[in-house]
Amino acid sequence: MNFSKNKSFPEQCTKSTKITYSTFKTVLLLSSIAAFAFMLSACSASQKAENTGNTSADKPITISATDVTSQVTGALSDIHTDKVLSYGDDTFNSNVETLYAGLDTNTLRDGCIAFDSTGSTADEISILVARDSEDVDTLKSILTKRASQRATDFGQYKPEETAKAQNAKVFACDNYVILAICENSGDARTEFMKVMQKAAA
Amino acid sequence: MTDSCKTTKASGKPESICHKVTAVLFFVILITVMFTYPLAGDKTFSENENRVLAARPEFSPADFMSGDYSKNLEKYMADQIVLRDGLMQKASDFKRLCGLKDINGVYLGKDDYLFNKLTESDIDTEQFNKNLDSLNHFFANMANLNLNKDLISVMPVPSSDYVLSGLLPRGAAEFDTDSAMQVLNSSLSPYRIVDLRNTFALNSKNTQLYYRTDHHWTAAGAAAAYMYYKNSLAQLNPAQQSDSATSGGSAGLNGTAEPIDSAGLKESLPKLKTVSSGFYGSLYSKVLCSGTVADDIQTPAAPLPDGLLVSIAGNSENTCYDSSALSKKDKYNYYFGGNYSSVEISTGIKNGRRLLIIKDSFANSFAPFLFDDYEKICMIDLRYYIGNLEEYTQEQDINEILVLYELSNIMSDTNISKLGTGK
Repeated sequence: MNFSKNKSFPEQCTKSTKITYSTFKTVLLLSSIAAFAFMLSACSASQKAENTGNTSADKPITISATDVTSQVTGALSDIHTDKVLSYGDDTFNSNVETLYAGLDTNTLRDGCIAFDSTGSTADEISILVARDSEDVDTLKSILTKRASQRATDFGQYKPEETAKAQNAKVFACDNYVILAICENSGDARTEFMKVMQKAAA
Repeated sequence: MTDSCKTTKASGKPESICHKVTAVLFFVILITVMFTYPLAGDKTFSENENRVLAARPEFSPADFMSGDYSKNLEKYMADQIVLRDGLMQKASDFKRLCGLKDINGVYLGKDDYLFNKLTESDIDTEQFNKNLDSLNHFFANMANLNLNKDLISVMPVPSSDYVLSGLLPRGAAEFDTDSAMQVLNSSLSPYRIVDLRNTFALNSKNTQLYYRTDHHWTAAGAAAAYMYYKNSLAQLNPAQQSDSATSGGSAGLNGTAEPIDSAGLKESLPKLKTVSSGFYGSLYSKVLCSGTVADDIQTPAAPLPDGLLVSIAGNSENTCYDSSALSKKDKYNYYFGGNYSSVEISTGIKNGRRLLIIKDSFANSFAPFLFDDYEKICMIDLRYYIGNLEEYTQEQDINEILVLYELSNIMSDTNISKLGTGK
């Protein structure tokens, strides 16, 4: 291996250029650290904003999961949900552990699912509300698993619906965690955030 | 390269020309492929693979930072590369030429058969036990609701790799179906197990029971299963068979019926008619080898009952067949148009027999054979159904139950837990 070209560069420098070169390296290093720190803080800020919904932290959000679901599905034009089950209903309670595998129902304060009861589409809005903010991440992973289960259920039978489930979005705001399986899950996210901001206002 | 390389190394300059040519060629290929993306235009669906292809991701700083953008871009590039179908077929053909017998989890068997690769590691024993517990719990509740437990049946369909194991490539890993059936038989012993293994083994050489390119059974396979199911129920005495609402106390099961041999099946098998000859199923979609032999889609030749009414997703029709599926890739959807959470069928026949089928897709081609035997047939697919099945059973005045799944699905489908649990 010949490093002569690399080695020769500093050796050829004059004193002033050596200072410039050294300063340049320092500036580059500092800028890299600053950029990296900025990226980390941006990630952290974005995570915090998502988890708190960018709402005023002092006022607890108390809107019911059923209300959030109905406002989100009402605002979306291309979602096919015809049935809603809410926390407390017999059918919701008896199915909750099968629908959301791994869920400890003691961690749940509220919940709701809007879905297509015919099974023709994979469309679904599921909202789980944690009693404790520490459980939000667990609920997120449970809903991610739910989306993956839906993709498996539709498999090769309805490829368009499988794709919807594969592109599902799971996001959180305050203690509310939402799974959106629909044509444009990005819109569901926007609507959900609007509802949460209104609820916190 | 040998002589010319020696020459070029000795002189120095030509070597650098050689490197430049390689670099330029590489660059040209790279640029050409890059520019074909916008020029070729994006496809939304791959007919061959029967799946939606990735669309060009929209750029957003948030997605970029989270890594989602690059992940989606990678999927898009892989899905939208020009001549994708041809390239995939050539890749599969090359693998087959090299002697590979397992492509994307599908075995390339003898006589043009493709088999789903299923091994012990694919089965979650805990889930299997949970599912058996749920079935027991549901059946016990149904018996408590005055449903005769002699009229509760479970039909686990053996997979094609078990029945046609002689056609598997040498060294193919096989799932132990017999052990699984032993566990199922012992757990659900109070109920009727319609064990198809012997009947299928006796008929696999003379009748095409499974599609070559798909994991489902053929209409002939479903017909053979129907004949065995009918024989199995015929073992009940007439009083038991017509007993639709007596108490759960029973005289006990009469055991399983004798397997139907090939002569018996030939004599009793309902006549079939072919409605399409160009079916390339789900296993083909994973392999995409050239020269694959297409399958036929068949149905019972007998006309549908006059009073037939099939209600799916709020629509009622007097047929159970969806002709539009025959012009699409997945022609198995010809039966009922695919899978739905619930399907209610009134056959127009008045005999008081009302059957609930808790099922996977295997039941879709099986159900048409039952139309002459039942007044009403309700099919529930637990993958899409969310509700109280006990209430549903009472609302529909059900007096017979059949659980019909492929065995591996009974073992692994997490949705069976929707039937409840005794624990």
